[in-house]
Amino acid sequence: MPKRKTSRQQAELLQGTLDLLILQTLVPGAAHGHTIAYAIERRSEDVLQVEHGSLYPALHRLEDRGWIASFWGTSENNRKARYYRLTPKGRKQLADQTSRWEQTVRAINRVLRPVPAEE
Amino acid sequence: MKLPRFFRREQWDRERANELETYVEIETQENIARGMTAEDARTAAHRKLGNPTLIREEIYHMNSLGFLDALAQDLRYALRQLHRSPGFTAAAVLSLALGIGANTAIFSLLDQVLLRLLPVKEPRQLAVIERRGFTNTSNFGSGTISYPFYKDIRDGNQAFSGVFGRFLVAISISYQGQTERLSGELVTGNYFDVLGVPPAIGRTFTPDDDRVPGGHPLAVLSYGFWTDRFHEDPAVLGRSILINNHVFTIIGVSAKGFDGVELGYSPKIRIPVTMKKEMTGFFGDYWSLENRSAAWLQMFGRLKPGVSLQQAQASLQPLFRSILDDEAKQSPLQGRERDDFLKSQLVVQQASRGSSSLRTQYRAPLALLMAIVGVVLLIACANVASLILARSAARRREIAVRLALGAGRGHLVRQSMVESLLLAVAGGGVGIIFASWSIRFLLGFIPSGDGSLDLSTNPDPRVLVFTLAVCILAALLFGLAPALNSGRFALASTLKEQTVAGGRGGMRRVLVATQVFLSVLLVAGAGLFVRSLVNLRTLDTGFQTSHVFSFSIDAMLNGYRKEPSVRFYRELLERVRAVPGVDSAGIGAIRLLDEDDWRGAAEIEGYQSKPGEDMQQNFNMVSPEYFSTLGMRIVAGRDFALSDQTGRSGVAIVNQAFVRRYFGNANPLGRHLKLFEKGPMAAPEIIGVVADSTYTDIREDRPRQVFLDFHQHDDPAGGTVYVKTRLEAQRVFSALRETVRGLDPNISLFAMRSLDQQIDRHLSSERLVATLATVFGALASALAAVGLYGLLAFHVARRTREIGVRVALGASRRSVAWLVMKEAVALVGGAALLALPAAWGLAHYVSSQLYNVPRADPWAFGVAVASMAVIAAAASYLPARRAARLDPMSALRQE
Repeated sequence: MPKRKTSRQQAELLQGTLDLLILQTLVPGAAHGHTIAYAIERRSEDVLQVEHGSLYPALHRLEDRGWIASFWGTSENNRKARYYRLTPKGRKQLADQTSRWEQTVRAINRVLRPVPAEE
Repeated sequence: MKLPRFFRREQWDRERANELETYVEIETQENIARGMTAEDARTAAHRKLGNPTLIREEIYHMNSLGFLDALAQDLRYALRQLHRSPGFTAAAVLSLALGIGANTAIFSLLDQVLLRLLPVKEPRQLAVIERRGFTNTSNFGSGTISYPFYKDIRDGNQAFSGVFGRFLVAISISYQGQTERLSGELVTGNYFDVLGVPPAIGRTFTPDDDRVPGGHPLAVLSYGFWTDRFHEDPAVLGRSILINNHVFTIIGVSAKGFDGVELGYSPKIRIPVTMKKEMTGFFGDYWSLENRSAAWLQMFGRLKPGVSLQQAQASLQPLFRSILDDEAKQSPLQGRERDDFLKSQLVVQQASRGSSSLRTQYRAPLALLMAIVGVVLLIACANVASLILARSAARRREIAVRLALGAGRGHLVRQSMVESLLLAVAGGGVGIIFASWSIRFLLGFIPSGDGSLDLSTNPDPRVLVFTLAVCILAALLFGLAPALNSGRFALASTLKEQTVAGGRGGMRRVLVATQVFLSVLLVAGAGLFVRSLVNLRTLDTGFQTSHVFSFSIDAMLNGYRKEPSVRFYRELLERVRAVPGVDSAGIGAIRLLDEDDWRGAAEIEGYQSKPGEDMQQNFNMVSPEYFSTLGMRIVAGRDFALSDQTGRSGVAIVNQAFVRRYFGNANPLGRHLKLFEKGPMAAPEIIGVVADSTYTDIREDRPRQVFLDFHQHDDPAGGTVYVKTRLEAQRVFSALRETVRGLDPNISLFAMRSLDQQIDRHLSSERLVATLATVFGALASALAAVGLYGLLAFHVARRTREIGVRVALGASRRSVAWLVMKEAVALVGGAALLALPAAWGLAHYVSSQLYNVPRADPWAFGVAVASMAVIAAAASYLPARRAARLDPMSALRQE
């Protein structure tokens, strides 16, 4: 049980960002869960350590919202794998969320940065 | 969450498992490529992924609706439980089906007779507009108005968006070589428009179809008639049919489902009111469209939106007063009569359900029956509750185990309620089938017009909603107490002990006592109603009812008028009397004990009436041999004779009540009456006195009656022929049909029945109540007996050891049996003692439905007590026998 609790908390913590990361990962094309997990890990230069399992509920949630769609395909080493791709709705969502994220980051940065000499 | 995914969660989960498996394999491959051993690679892959079961569970939960999930689980569990005890399930479902079915059937009837709105546009705006008080008119039905009066109101009112009139007539129609007598309706041209009833095909009337008297021979068929007789053939449009020997053109068929504005009367054909003379010419010129003194139209209006009944009535008053003034001026009314006339009223009443005398007649009986079936349902619920308690006693150990394993008491209660609901719904389903069977049977009790009532026998959506509500209510009634009880016992001791489970069954005793209590109420009530019916049925009507048959005939509808009509009826009676096996026959204008009546004022030679004295008499017009056929004794003077012919001076026979009232001990023979009749009948001489008899209502005291001579009337319309014969019904009827066919094959006979059947029809609502009360009383008693039996059997099982000890110590078989009987006697006796005063108290509310039966009728109450004794005996027989035959050795070894 305790394990599940932490995974929930983690999910809550990351909810918005994890969704954003998954969507971004799918921009180049469809991918399966394993690829997505490693892509996120790699592109964040291993800073964002995601428990790969927690990816799947997130994928499920995104699919429920209609931002991504899934299909069964064959993996690079000839294995049956579940592939996910962005839907048009997901693409729009990604654009919206990215710009909101950037706004937030800018705002936070402005607060954190030492007061510049403008004034 | 997508709902479809909820229902295919299992499959979804399997896919997720596959997906995770794929991850592990890919990761394992890559780990091996990184140089790990196969085993390490797999372990590392799993570590990286996390716990797959938790992940799947998380996704599974995302796909769940909590309550639905729990409900589905409870339902499955309940189904399993019910399946495991088929005897219990069958008994419970059957009990409930009887209770719910009875409620559905009676409600379906009650709904159609009392509650349902007319199937027209905005039925709540409909109102009936009636004229009340002294109207100085001859009235055809109460509250009716004349045609000129209708036009005044139609054109002068402010409150209604439309006002229409209607009048029911019996008509004879001929088409495709057949002649048929059926009910028609004369309607004003705006009838369909104001009601908002569209045509199914063709068109309905417009005000233009109703302008010139005699100028619109058009007919609109009802949908039902079109279906029955013309098989929905659209080619009927434009076709000609003969109605009362006049050629009419069919212009349309009215919408499906619309039967008319009066319950129990569904006219098959509607005709513009301007064709009145053609349809009812035989009424005489008095009843013409133009005569203001002839009130026959029933008037309806559609209220303008936002206008209330009171406002409408108020707004009509100035118009009504001015019409009254005009009418008073044109009439010779004077003095008090004039004052009374000016005091008469115009009343606006709700007509969203149409108008109906049937409704008034059946309101109280149906409400009563609804109460009775409500009680039956209570008894059925008590039965089921008691069954559930018995079963939950047997399931104590199982429940205890579940409690011990951590099941919440709330969960147990919920589960028990789901089970109850399931039982109730199953019972309701079977009950609906019972109901649709029994509605057919019930409808047989409600006569109307000349046929039986056109009511639907299939439960419709309204009724189904009611049934569902009853099911839920029932489930709450029988399920809640056992459910709450289910989690309430000492856990540890139950788990430890191995004894036969079950407490003292205190709650079950209360339930069985309740059943007995309610059964006593129903049986005593049934006794009262049966007594009342017997009283009515054995009332001396003043005429002989056995071996007397009757049929009605209306030659006027086939064009017989004046001379031919007079000849027709003489010939008819002659031929009927000549039928082998017929002792005597006579005709009367009024059908006895039916809706017919004929009342009018008479002046009596030698009698000075006081001002305001009621000089209204009940009239009939009968032929020679009428009295002897009906076994009515002529106490003075003579019967009518064929020699009293048309044109001769008029003769009349009065009854003893008439003589008592107006002549006392003086001799009435030879005196004359002065009547509002034409020709020789205007001043007939009293030639005979006949014994008293009932007229239209068997419950009323025998009224004063004046009989005129049927054969003296110069234009007889129709009547009812009474035949005395020793032949059996079927042979009489076919012989009579044959006879009439020989006279004129186009004339139809109707209302063919024995006089006993006529009385049964007349007492239909009493018969309905008495029969159903008896059926339900018996049903209730049977349910109570089953309940009692269950309780006693349970007691014997629980006390097996004790009884074994008693027997071993020398108790006699009889005393052991008495041990069981005692229980039954105490319980039933106690409940019955409580119930009798309650029954007496409740009888007060039905006393208006009873005829000559005291509230504490010893007969009815005696039957109730006796039937409870039978119940106690029947229910305790088997358990007592089992106890008495108990083998002490095996009983003691049982533990």
